[in-house]
This record gives sequence, structure tokens and C-alpha cells, in this order.
Amino acid sequence: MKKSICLFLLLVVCHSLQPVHAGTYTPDNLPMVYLQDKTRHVVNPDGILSAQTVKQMDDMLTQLETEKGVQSVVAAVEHVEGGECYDFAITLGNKLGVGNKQNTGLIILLSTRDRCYQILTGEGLEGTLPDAICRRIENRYMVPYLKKGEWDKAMLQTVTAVCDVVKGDASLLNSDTLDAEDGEGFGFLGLVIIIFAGSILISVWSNRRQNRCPKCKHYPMHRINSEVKTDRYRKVEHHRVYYRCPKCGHTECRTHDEPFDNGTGFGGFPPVAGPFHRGFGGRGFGGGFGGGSFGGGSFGGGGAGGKF
Amino acid sequence: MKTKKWMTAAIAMVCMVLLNSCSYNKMVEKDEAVSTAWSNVETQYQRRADLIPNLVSTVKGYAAHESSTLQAVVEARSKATQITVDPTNLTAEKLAEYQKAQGAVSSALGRLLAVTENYPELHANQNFSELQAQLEGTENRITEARRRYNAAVQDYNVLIRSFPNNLFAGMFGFSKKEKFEAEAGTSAAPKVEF
Repeated sequence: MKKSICLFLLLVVCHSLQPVHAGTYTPDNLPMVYLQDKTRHVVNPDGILSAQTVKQMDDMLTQLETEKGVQSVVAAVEHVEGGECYDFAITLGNKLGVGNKQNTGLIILLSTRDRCYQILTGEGLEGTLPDAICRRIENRYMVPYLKKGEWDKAMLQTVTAVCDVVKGDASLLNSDTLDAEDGEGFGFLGLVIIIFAGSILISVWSNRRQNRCPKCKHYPMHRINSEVKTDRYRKVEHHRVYYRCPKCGHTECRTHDEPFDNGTGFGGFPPVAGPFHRGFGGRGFGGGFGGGSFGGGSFGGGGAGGKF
Repeated sequence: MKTKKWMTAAIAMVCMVLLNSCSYNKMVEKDEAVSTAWSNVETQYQRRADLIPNLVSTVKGYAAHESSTLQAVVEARSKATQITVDPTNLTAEKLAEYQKAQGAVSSALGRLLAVTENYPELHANQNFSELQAQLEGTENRITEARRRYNAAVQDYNVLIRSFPNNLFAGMFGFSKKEKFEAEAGTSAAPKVEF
């Protein structure tokens, strides 16, 4: 018994002594700030880049997304698992599905301790940013500064250059979000209007039908008297309402039951509205500063990277 | 009692037909997915083959006396481009042959790129640097295309080999397809000679 306790303590001590790799990231544990706030594209968990640079890049990349529909993730980390920027980037991209329907996702990765960098283009962006152009940008704007350890300058210049190239491609348009917002916005509003109008029409129609004299079909019949009998044992109220037709003098009695403990009489309403609320609740509209979502883009291996 | 038995049999028949027709359509779908994935693999290999003449002529300008290495790349390329595989007829032998030919290109290219390390002027050349990036990108695309092809084949094989689809798959001519395997030739790092 004593032995096992000792062993356990030893294990605990050993475990706590193990070096903790604070800056080691896998595609699974990289914090995706974009999902919380869709104006934040830069992932900077180790504080490699300055706050100002991050802000500048975020602004540029957000503009790029709204104008050109290019969804991007820029990450600067100390160390990626396996030490290969390309492997990390493509796994991340395909796992998250960076990029919209046009498949124009973009990932720019820098790993300072592995001394590697990668620009990875989604399959729809390979025409705009061919591998050779990526390499040219890296050779001109990234690698010289990376060699000097000027991470901020390297990343900022690279992002600027990439944005310039993407903006220069007139064939690239943010048709995806425009279509989605227009189409969906109208569709949703239209559906709501139709449901409301429909339910009003149905209630008017059923009310008229109920309140029509069965003999002479005159509408409406007048309510002349009503009585309520409460069944406390079954918790039910028996309502009897008397109507008379003003035209032919026909009188009838209509009965219905209501739950005793529901004095409002509106008990039937929520179940009608419920399913619709639930149906649209999960959809989420990407307005304001809400979290973004990745559109399921895929990466086929385009782009360029290297070591410095 | 008799009618009840008859009814049960009829229902069973209908169920079988329904089940079978559903899985038949699924099989067709997966089969097509494999064909698409295969054609993507071929496209990426073709893309590499198209880059090679450009690369060779660029290297020639700086390293003319590496002619044997250059020759090996050109030969491997011409051999590899002759072999095409019909996606409807993906047999193990055909795939192995294709893979071997492309593997020869890969190793010849690896040797060429290793040799170019000896020429700093060539490495400083922007054209070469960009060509190299294209080649690397294409290798990455090949890897990704092969991974996707393997995934599609796995999907397909699981479908046609699981019960009860295996009973009908053979009847409709759906047979097991072959995957790419890691090659002995290409996984080995190219030898660097100084």
C-alpha cells in the first residue's frame, strides 16, 4: 500500500516536472478567435505580433472578406506540432473549412521556432494567387524581414501584398454573401409574413364559419348568454355559451372545456409559435460583431511556403 | 392464415427491392466519386509533367553539365505520361504500374532538385524560385488528391463489401477498388551528393 502511494506521488511529481510546451499548437487546439468575432482574422496566441499590427491586419482582412469574399486566417505561433507549416496549415484549413462557397479560403502561417512560413490558398483562390505569386510575395516581403526577426513587418507587408493581389482580381466578387444575405433575408421575411397572414386568414375564416347561423347562414350570430361550471376535481371548466341568430331567431348552445388553472384562455398560443421559433433560432445571422463561421472551403495544396 | 403468410412474403419482397434499389444508387454515387477523385489525381500528375520541361530548360541554363540528371527526369516524364489508367478499370496491376512510373518521376525530380543546391546562382534566379514553388505546390496537390482518392475508395469499398450490399454489388458489376499505397521509391529522401 505504502509502495503504491509512493509510486503515485512519484508519478505526480514526474508529470508536473515535464516541460509544458506553452507555444505548441495542433490544428485542434489553435484558438480560433474568428469564431467568436468575425472581424478578427489574426490568431496571435503567443503575442508574437504587436496589438497594433494585429489590428491593422484584421481591418484589411475583414475588408477583404466583405469585398471579395476571401475568408482568411492568419496565424503567428511559436511552434506547431510536427514542425511543418504546410502540414499544419492544410490540416487546419480542411478541418475548419476556411472559405465560402467559392472556396476562396486563405491561410497565412508563421511558426517562429520552427522557422517556417506558409501561404495556403483555397482551391478557388489558386487562380488569383498562383503558387509562383505566393512565392514572389514571400521572397520580397516576408523572408527578408523574417530573417531579421521583424515578425510584425514581415506579416503586415505580406498581408498587404496578398490583399493587393486579391483586390486586383476583378473576377473575384463577394457574390456568396451578397446572394446569401439578400436571398435569405427576403426569404425569411417573406416566410414570416406569409405565416402571419396565413394564420390571421385561417383564424378569421374559422371564426366566421363557427359563428354562422346553421339555419339561414347569416353571419354573425349574437352571443346572448353564457355559463361556466367548474369541475374542481378534474380541474376543468365547462363553458356553455348561447348564441342567437338575429335574422331567423335560431338559438344554439355551444360548449367547450378549458383547463381550470389557466384563467387566461391563451394557453393554446405558445405551441403554435413554438416550432417556428425553434426552427429559425439555430440559424443565426452574421450581423454586427457576432462570431463568424467558416463556409466549408477546401484546400488542395496550393500556395507556397518554406523555411527561413 | 394463408393470406397473412402471402402478405408477409410480399412485404419482404418489396422491402428487399426498395433496400436494394437504394443501395444501388448509393453504389453508383460512390463509384462516381471515386472516378472524380481519380481524375483529379491524374490532373495533378499531369500538371507536374507540364512543369518539367520548363524546369529542365531553366536548370540547363545554369547547370549544363548535369545532363545525365536532366536526361533522367525527361525520360521518366515521357514514360510516365504514356501510362494512363481508365477510372472504370482500376485494377491493382494498373495502379501499381502507374504509381511506379510516377514514382520514377518523383525520384528523378528529387535528384535534380538536390543537384541544383550546388548552384547558388540558380537559386538566386527568381524564375527558378517560382518554378520550384509551383513544383512544390503541385507535389502538395498530388498528395492531397491521392489522400482524397484513397478516402473515396475506402468509402466505396466499405459500401460494396458490407452486408447486404455485397450480395448485389457483384451482380451489378461493382468490384473492390485499389488504393494508393505509400511507395518505397518516393518516401525515401533523395540522396544529396556534394
